[in-house]
Amino acid sequence: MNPFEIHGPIYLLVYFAICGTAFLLAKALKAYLLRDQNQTSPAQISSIAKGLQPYEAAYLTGGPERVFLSACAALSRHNLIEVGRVSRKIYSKLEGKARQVDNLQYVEQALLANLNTSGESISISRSKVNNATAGIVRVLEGHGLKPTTDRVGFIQFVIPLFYVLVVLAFSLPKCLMAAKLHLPCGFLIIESIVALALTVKLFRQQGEITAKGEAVSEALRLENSALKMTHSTNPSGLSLRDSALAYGLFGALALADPFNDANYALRRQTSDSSGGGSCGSSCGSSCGGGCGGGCGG
Amino acid sequence: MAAVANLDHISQLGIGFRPELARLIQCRHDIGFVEIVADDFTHLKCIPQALRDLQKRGVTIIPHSLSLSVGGADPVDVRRVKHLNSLAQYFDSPFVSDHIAFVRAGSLESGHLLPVKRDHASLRIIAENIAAIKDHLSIPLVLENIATIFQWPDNQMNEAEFVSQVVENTDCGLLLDLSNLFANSHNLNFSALEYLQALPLHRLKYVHMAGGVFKNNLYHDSHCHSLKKQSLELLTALKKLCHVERVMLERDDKFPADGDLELERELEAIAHA
Repeated sequence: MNPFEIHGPIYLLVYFAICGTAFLLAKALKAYLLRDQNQTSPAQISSIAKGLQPYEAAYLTGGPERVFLSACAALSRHNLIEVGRVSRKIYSKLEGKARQVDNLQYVEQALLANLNTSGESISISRSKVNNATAGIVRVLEGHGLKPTTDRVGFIQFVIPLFYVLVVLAFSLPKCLMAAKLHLPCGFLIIESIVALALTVKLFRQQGEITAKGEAVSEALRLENSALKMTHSTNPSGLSLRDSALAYGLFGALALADPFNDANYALRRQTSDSSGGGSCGSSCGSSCGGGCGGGCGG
Repeated sequence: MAAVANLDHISQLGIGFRPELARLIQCRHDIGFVEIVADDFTHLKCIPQALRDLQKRGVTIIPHSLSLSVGGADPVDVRRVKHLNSLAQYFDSPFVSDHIAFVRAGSLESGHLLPVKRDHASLRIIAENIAAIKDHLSIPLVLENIATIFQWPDNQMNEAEFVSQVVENTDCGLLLDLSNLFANSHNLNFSALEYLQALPLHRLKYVHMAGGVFKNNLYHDSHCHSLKKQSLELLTALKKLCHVERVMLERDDKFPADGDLELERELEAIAHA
């Protein structure tokens, strides 16, 4: 039976069923690729969780961005740096004495390395921390908590591509036909847009982790319930290492928190730069040379 | 690396469980028991994973109530007793505790532990209340001496006699707060050592120690200042009089910041007093 011979609301239902099936297939394929191949026992999961360093746990929870925010928050909490919400800069509070601070982890060293009291932009600082996370990725991949780069590529691009192709293959020809015959296809377009939106939502996640990684992450959260309590009630009582682990696992648990300052500055930076980009493209077509000053600012 | 105190003289070292101290408690493997404030956990669902983890580790958990008002003239609030009992059953606690005090009268809550007039009428009231409490408790009740900066006029006995009669008449265990004892002996001017000698120490279940502060010639058992040497000296004296099974530290505010080892030092001092 040719689905293209079906018309009207029945085709919408068929299309919904096709997209739904493709979506479930894609999800199942993703779950299969991220499965725990060795069926690790709870004791082994707990053992891996106990062996992870704070920023490895942070990466497992929220990828490289969580590592950066956790490092900013932990160092700020211990008065080693200051995050400027408005200036979007990170300032060292050490005045060149960074090397005198004991027990810094390499992510923290990377962040502190080139900071000075006049500040460094948050985006440059983030790129330095991102560069330092290569070692973390190796550790997580070694434990099977994070899929390999090839597999991440497959999960993040090939599977969504398959799904998008299915969505378009069953809507685009029908829409073109409808346009040619002057028939309505608005509901089909809406259904396609919704189906495509799901692609972005479900397959473009940062810091993809395996089922084993999920289990370790859950174990970390459970085993650090006491840390969470102290983090939310007496954060200044935690050591730098515990602060990093607490921010990595739980983020900020209060409104006034350096984690939120860093997150705010980072979001503002990101939205400002993306705003600049869109401004540039729209200026190019609509106002030509006349907007140079406005967009640049 | 977890800090561990060398327990030479007591069987179990404990600490009052507070969210602010949860991480410290988790990291110390010499903590044998923790005391939880029963009134903080309105329902068993409120029990945090951190406490369940401690229980799994073998740490004894003792529910401590602030609101039974055993010295009050009002009838016992059965709901509170049942809640205390449910916590004890959940944690498989050896006993529960409260204070020899009253906290409400009529419909008014004092928000503070108030001293009971030390006379025979009060002893009768306390005995009746405790009998009513025990009807709903499946484990023993332990009673604590409180700190106070005033006492009622026309008391018929001193505090040691009163506490002794309460625990003996009601067949309850004794929770001896040595910092409360020091506070009262300082503020009300009596000998803490004579007090210790007058107590039925065979009923002693555990000991509270807490920090405090001297202010305007009074000692305030604040639970947010450092532990005083006078309280430690009383612990040493108590150990000479009887075997002390469990001793714990209470801290309710001004928790030390990272790097400040005040509580660690205090736990060490308690272990070696």
